[in-house]
Amino acid sequence: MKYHSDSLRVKRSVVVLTALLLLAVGRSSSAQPWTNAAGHAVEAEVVSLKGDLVDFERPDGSTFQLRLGSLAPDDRETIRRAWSGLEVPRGLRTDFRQFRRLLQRLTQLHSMERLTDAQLAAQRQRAVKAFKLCCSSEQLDEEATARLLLVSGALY
Amino acid sequence: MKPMAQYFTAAIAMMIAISTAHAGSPQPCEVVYGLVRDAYGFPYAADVEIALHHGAVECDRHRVTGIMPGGSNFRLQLEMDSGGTPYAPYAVQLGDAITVSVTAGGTVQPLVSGGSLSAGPSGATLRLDLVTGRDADGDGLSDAWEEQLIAQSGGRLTTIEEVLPDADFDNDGLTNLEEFHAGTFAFLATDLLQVDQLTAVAGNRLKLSFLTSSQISYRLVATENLQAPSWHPLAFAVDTTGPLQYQEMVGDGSYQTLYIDQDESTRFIRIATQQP
Repeated sequence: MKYHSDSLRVKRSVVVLTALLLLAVGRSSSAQPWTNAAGHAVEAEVVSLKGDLVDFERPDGSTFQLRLGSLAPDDRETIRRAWSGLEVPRGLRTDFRQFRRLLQRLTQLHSMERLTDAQLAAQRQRAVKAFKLCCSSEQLDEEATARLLLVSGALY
Repeated sequence: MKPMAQYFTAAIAMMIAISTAHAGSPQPCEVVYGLVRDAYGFPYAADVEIALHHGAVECDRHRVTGIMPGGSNFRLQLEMDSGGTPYAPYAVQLGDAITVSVTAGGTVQPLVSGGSLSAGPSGATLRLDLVTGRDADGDGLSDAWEEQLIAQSGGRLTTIEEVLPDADFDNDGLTNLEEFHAGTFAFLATDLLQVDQLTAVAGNRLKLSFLTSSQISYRLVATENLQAPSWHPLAFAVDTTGPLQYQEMVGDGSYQTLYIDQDESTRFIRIATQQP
């Protein structure tokens, strides 16, 4: 069986806007932009901090590792403070990524006054509830769940 | 019959004959439908009316109440006339100039594009997608949308002329225009139309999920290859056991999960949303 999941692409045709499942590589993707000490941006999401090693995940699911010390001082501190001893379990990474994306969308819609305070609160609450269920099914303990909610921005 | 009565009878018959010769007759109407969005790319869901006008005469009017089949939110009819004197004031003939108006909040809105069309032919169906707002630089993106991108650009963009439809400001693989049509934010690299998850599940099916935009209509299409692609509809279900159907689904701003036959995994699949 042949899968094309690692190369999803969105392209425009004459009448459709599309997401393509392709075998292409080098897809530009980003999440939280982090900056290394040389000033280069790294666009990915943190999924764990173990000792001095930060694991990042790109939106396509691929991962890479950087030393904490290679990041700019501000980012280094942000990651150290939020992620020390914390890891998104592998089975939860897709849910976590989707959860963060949804929160970002909701926050943006709210800032554009497309969502009222009440609508934002209700939708955020629904998203948190769904994510907590995912955490529960992954047997994540309460403290780790709470920390993931914190780093996701759900509690802001 | 008296001579005078004969005269009137003949005159009336002649008038009827002349009238019949020059009067138009009803023909199958032309259907005009599409999606009307506001200046930020959000489809209108309510409190908006779209009307077709022939000169000063209003031909038809539709009040938006939500998304309809085909990813549209309005549907209008042009009553077509065969020619000669129109059989009704609102009837139009092939080639007549028709103007389109969109009224929101009691005010007629400027349109980025699609403000006029040529009537006919009878029986035809015309897709007409509309965007309200101004477009001073004429690039198909409303000024309001471009100004929003400028405001979020951190100083990298300063004028609407610098916001290009084919550019990809946030480097997420979607052009600015594609993001506009997908209802995603062109300044957020994580916000794009993208399959986030593709996994095999029970029942010989593949599960795919993606973040939808509210009021945007989606469908799946597939092709055997990308060298000479021939995209055709792909059946999907909304749960693991439901029937696979050729259908559309309307986004509500949340993640949606669709299921396709696992045999489709050897083909290229797109999530498609209608766009002009």
